[in-house]
Amino acid sequence: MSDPAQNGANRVQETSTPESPGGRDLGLVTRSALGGLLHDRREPVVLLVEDDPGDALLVEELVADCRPRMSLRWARSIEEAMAALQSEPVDCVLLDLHLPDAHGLDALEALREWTGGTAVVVLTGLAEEESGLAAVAAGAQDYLVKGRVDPEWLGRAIRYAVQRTQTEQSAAALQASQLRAEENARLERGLLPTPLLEGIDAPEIVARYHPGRAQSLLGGDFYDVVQLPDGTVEVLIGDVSGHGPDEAALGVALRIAWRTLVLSGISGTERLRRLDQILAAERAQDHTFATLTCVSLLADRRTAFIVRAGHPGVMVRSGSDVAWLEVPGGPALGILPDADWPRYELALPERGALVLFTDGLFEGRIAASGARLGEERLLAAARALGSLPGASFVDELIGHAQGLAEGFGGLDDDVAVLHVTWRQDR
Amino acid sequence: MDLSLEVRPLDGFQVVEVAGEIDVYTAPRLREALADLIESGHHFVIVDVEHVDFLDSTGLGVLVGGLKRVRANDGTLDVVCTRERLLKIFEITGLAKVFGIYPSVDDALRAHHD
Repeated sequence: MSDPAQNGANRVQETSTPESPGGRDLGLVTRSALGGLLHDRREPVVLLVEDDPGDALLVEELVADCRPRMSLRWARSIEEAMAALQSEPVDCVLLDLHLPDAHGLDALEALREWTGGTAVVVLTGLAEEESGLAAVAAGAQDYLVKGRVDPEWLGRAIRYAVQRTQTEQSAAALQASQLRAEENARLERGLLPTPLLEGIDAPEIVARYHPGRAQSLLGGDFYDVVQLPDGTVEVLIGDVSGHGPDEAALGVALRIAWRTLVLSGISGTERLRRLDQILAAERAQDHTFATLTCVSLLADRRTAFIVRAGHPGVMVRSGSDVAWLEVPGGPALGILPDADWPRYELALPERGALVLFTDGLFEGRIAASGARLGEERLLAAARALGSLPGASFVDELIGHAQGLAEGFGGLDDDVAVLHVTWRQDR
Repeated sequence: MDLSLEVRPLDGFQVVEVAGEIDVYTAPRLREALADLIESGHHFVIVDVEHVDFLDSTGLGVLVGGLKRVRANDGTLDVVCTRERLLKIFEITGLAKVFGIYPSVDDALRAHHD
């Protein structure tokens, strides 16, 4: 209730019992309404924009008699009103249409540019009902005719105006968030497809995606799995730098380009070169880049080829052991002209799994100091979960990263994890 | 977490000292600082990230963007960094080959004057 920034005798009066007429002191209003009356958080704050002290006094008396109560601020011009609106939130503006620095609907327009979502009730003279109606047509919530208003009417007009504005705003916000959710869902479907696995000896795939804390900032993490007719399984994980719909859309473009290249039989370094070209052509801003790792699991499941483009390492599971593997690679896509991406050959154990992920998995904040989980702690956590089967291993690992970040705002970034389990026939 | 930025001219270069975390939330401020420098005609920039605790891909994107813009004006953008954690990120992403990375501002200046 008490506000340390606002000290002085005037406030004492307002904090007193309800039967004491708050703000009765004219000195309060005429001195400066801007910092004037005590602001009780539960009472709506009304900003009167009126240059005539006599009219201001009348409004103040009406407001003082309103029940439930309201707090009043006073500004004598649009300029003062803007300063007042910047210094504290206001629920409703009572606007006179004849001000020294703006007239008629111009005053309303100037104010609405600043108030955004604040309710505005216009005050008109006795012979001006028409301008009141025009103001309502131009976006004011209501108008009141000076000299024809009693406290009850004023209070009700203000409360209804505030209520209507809030309802409109929440409806608009709800619609915006629904649209965003639909858009995100569409992009997510594009980023995180159903693996294209055909054939009887398909590896077991566990794919997980965990959206970051900033839901409206959809990340550009993407993955894909495609099995070719000869039994080779192609696996992809990637991450477009930055966050937002452009980045997510680029992630979708890259993933589909990758799938097309795979199905067209383009492999290894050549596939990366073409993806690099596509990224350069499709990105919205020329500093956007993407990191990715491609794995080709050959049909006999004895060999995997790994191509790494600026992406973090992968984890290799064998028995209950987990190892970190960061193969030699090339730069992220979209950075260097004529880059090269070496292909790394990995001999696979008889049974095992590859764990591919995006950096969101180990970049979560885990201490107030700002320390991050980091690759080493992630690997230690993975090793502790080494005996778990694919799905629970992945879920527990993400849960672990999430749990550690929980006390520090949660995981900011998106996390994508792909767990590919193979078994050799013989 | 916070990001602090300080820009000082030195020997024909603009040195941008960055401290704190460069992530999705703070990166826009670094982007603006670099854009302001470049727009006002400073195309020789050294970004000192010695006191940066965290740098994510959004932050890297900002540095890449700055580099592309100075290069378009025949300028340079070098990075001062000795922190292993950050060097690793430059290494992994292949950006170590794109930026001149130096252990100190003096080393970066010397590399240009040699």
